[in-house]
Amino acid sequence: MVDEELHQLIRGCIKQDRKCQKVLYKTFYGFAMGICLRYASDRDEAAEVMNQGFFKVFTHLEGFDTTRPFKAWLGRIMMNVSIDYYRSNLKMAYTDDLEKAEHISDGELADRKLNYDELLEMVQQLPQAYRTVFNLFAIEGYSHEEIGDMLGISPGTSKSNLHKARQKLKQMILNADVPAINNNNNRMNCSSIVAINSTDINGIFFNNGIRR
Amino acid sequence: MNREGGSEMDDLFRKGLENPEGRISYHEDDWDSLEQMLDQKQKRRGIVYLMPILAGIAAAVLLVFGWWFFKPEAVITKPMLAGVKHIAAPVHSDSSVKHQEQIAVAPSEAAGHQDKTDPQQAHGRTKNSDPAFEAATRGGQVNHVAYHAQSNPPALGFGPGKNDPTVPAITADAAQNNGLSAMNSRFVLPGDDRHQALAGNAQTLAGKTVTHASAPIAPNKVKIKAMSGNNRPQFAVTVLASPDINGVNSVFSDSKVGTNIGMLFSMSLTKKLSISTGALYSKKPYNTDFDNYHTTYAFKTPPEYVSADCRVLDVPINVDYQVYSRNRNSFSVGSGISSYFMLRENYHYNYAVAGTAGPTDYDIANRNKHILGVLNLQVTYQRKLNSRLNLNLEPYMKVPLTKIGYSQVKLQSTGLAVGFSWNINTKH
Repeated sequence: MVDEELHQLIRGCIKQDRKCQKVLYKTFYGFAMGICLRYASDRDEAAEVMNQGFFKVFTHLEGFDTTRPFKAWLGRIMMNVSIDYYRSNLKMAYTDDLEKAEHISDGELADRKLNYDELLEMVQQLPQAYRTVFNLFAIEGYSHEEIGDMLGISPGTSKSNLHKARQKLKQMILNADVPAINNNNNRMNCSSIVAINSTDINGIFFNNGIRR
Repeated sequence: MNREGGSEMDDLFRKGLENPEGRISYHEDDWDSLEQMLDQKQKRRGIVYLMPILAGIAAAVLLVFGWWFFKPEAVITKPMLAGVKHIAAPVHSDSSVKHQEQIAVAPSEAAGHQDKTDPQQAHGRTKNSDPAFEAATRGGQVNHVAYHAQSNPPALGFGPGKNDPTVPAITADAAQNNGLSAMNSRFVLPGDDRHQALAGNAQTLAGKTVTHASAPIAPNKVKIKAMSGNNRPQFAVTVLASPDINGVNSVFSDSKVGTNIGMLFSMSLTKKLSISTGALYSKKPYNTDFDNYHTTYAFKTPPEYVSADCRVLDVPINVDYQVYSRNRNSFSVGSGISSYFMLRENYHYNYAVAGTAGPTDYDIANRNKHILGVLNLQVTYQRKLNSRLNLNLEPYMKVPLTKIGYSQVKLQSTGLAVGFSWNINTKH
């Protein structure tokens, strides 16, 4: 989509034109969902959070600076709503027993051929606290100080959660190589962990939109 | 943004998860949910933006309605006075005033006898040989008037009983429409046992029949007077505040105290009955056992109890009846219905064991409203401070007719409202 088309679409959305809103939604659906899926534990949760994000986009679009890239702005909003979701629903995390993943070196992982769906499934199986830190650090590229500020935790906790996330992911990758018979049983041993479930977030007006 | 000690692991996931757009299929259901959210938002905005406008319209209607009530005093009087001039002036303007006074004393008596059309009774009257009555009949005017009376039923008002007070009014109205014939028929009506009342007039009836045309006007004046004296509505604005005790299922156990503040417009319908409406902003905190709390979320460990803090716009419509009034003091009892607009709801979950994993708070804004969902009961003590200002003390109770808020609890409230009311127009 060329810039002029996009700006025209944005102008329509500002006027609350439902058709323009739908076109914009469909255009950036894959991009936005891709971000939310990484932070969520399943597709339904991701869709819910993504809609919260688009809701903010449509209600704050008049404040968008059209000289800046829209996609980056949208991506930031999606990340922020995902973090807000985390913050509003997860107050504390339990540590879990990390199994014998320590001995696997990073070098061994380089050879693994894992597709998008497999990787996403692994990330989604992480406890929410670990998943959020892993996403922010490993994929978005934030520092532990920044993550600590965003999530309201200390940089030390951020480091610790990142470490545990990596260990779990290693363990999952290792398990992915185990024959299918055991796969279902061993896939996820962390169900007892963390996961303070989300409350019903329908109608919650996250953080008034854009992160301060 | 910093990249710290990048690991193979991070790279594996970063590269693997980037550009997922082609792999994610579009679901129309997702758009439907978002569209629903957007529609709800628009509705909420509509309500919030319309509230001041609606309140303004309500106040304006109330005031205009009030003006309408005491405007007719002038509107009705003018045509009637004009009518008097029009009818009485050409004949005997001097004597008409006298007759007005006489007949106004006993309007129902004078108007009470429609049995003139009964030939038997008419005959009986003739037999009565009352000199006054005979004088009247001899004057030759009665027959003429009787003709008009029979040919003009609306003026006669057939049907009502002897002392029916509505008759003068009906006759007077008819007089306006029917002119002299109606007036004349009115004159004929006095009957058998009322002869004494008219004895004085009877002597002059033959010559001055038409002067009685002004007679029907007198009862009408009485009617106007009564209307302006008793039915003139009184308008008042009340500003009030109260501590508001809230509890689920009962306000007497585990209750918490909030506050109410607001403004009401009231209008008296009769001397004792008044109606009021307005808006109250309420802070309603309460505690409830988790058993009473309703949520769609499945708690792994249910909280022990929930502390709620709700901000509510309460729009009541109440009717009050004055049961006692002496000197400066009056008491009223009242009831009505309130609509609750839940502006904000905050629920805090308290667990039996500190540190239990689970959500701690839930916030909602502008989602729930309960139109005509709460019953109001109140008793009002009013002390008049001066002709315009009153002090009000109002113990009240609010009983829910529906379940309130996201939590769907039977939230009761009680308190003592203290306020001042200002009479916009005072009775004279």
